[in-house]
Amino acid sequence: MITPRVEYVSRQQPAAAQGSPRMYYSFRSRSSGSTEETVELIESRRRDLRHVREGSAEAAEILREIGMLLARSGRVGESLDTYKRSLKSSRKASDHRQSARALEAMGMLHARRGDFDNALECYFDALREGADDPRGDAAAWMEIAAVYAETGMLDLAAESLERSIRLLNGPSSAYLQARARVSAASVYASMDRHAEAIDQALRGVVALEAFDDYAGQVEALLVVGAVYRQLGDRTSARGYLERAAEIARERAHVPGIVSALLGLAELHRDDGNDDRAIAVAEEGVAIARDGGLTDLQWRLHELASELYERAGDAAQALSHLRSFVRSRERSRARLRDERFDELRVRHESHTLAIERDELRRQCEQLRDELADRNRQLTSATLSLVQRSELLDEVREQLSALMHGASEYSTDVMRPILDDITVGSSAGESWQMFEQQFDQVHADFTHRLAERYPTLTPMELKVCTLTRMDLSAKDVGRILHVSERNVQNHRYRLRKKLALTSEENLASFLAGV
Amino acid sequence: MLEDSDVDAGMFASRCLTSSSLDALFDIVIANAELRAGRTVVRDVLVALATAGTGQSIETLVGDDPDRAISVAHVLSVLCNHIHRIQNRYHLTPALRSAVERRYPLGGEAPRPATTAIDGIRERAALLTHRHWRETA
Repeated sequence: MITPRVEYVSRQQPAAAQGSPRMYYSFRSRSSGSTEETVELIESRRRDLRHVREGSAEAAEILREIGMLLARSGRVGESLDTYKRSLKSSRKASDHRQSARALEAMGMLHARRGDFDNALECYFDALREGADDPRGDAAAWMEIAAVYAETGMLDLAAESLERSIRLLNGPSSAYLQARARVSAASVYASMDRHAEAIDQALRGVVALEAFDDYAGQVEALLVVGAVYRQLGDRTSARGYLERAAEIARERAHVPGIVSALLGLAELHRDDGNDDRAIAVAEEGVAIARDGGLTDLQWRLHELASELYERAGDAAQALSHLRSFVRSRERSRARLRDERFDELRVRHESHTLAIERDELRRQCEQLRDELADRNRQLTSATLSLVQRSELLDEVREQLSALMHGASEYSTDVMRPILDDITVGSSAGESWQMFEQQFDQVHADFTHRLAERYPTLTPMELKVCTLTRMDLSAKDVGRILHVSERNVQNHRYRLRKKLALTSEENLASFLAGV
Repeated sequence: MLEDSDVDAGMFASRCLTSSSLDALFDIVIANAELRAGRTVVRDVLVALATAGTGQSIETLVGDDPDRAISVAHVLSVLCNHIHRIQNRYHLTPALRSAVERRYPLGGEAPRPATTAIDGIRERAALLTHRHWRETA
């Protein structure tokens, strides 16, 4: 069974209190607050994540769960990032259903932060995922309706809920359909479509009774009560509100109790039964204060103040008026803080985006430089190889000439031959090469020498050239030693570096 | 509440949600109540409430027969969302009143058939009634 993710809470619009009462609707965020249990669960799921491949459907699901837990503990920014990772993984795994869920979760977070544009974008993206999941799509339409209702676009909210209801067929979707109908009833009630509101709410009551969903029943009964009050049938209105209060009390559903008491107090006031209205309002104030329901509390204070004033008790009227102002200010301050936090988060994310772009640009620049240096290095190394080859040829030719030459010629040529042998391996060109190599590979030679002080200069050279993926033959040519000699050096190196037979020397050196 | 499994609740709820009108919905509600609490007592309570303009007290509904008290209380409990108690007097909601007036003509004639076929839930309702009486016996 899918649990609906939106709860509508009916409230009296303050401006309409003097005229015909209208209702409007708001998100009620799920319980939040970081608990040790949630934090532990997040860590546990993060550990699970290490055992699956990022980009798989399993990873997407775990990430979505982590995102949900983070959101529950109030870490909204982290939660959004985690949902984004989940979306990336599920898209990579072509798991459209999971993608749609991640998008819906992101939409809900945006909506909770009052960022309705992004919320709608996420929900519509979820619908566009083509997950072939009518219940998921219906849930997305319900979320869309909640955003429209929150922003006062009631026509669109009603239309979205009707779409949602049409998508939900059969016994397995009955629960969600009942919730959608109750939400639709709320919206119809605020549009003065009374008959439709009563029809949908009563269907919802009967269906949700079968599922023992007390919160849903309370919500539906409150809607019916409010509509009958608008229609002037105060007995029916009172009956429904009393019943809503009764269920809410049985299940200790505090918002339900306070909402019902607010409605009942207003009904008693309408009936001219001010004493009863005051008693009910006072009870509501106490429960709302204990339950931290600021929005409902200030409405009840406002009503109590009006009632005491009518009854001629100026002191109580003033006291409630002060409480009304204080609690309304608290409520507004909370909204202001939330809005401020939202703007701060947006600003920070904007700044971070700029920094990230700058870093990316610098990174690309460095990458280009590195590629350029590598090209230079390769060209220098090749030139070294060619020079060695050339010197080898000259040396061989001189050696051949020396065989048939006179003693004088041999005496002249021998020092030249010795110079060529020494010069071909002379340090000048090697130093130049080493300098360039260390620039490209971040002081590789120095780090290697520091880490393994037993390495000889020759072994360090072999390491440097092996790091460039040169063959033993090429290394031998550059260093003027035989291929066999290079292999012997490499053998000794493996021992000094304590490499196992499975480990590759070049790969090991690349990691130094 | 009508549950012994999600599927059964889903079937019942689905039927209620897709009923053609509020009258049809309350036909199902009354039929369900009859099968859970007994047809005669449901009809008696509903007719008594529909004919009393200002509601009825539980004492009036029970009358002189103390054995009826449990049955009447059961009816009131089954239909608690549609029979409201205001200052110890029970009232039918407008939707239920309309269904009662149509289903049980208040002149004492034989009940008219329901506008919606309710046979589909009879089997399940019988099962529930049997289970309920077994549990409360």
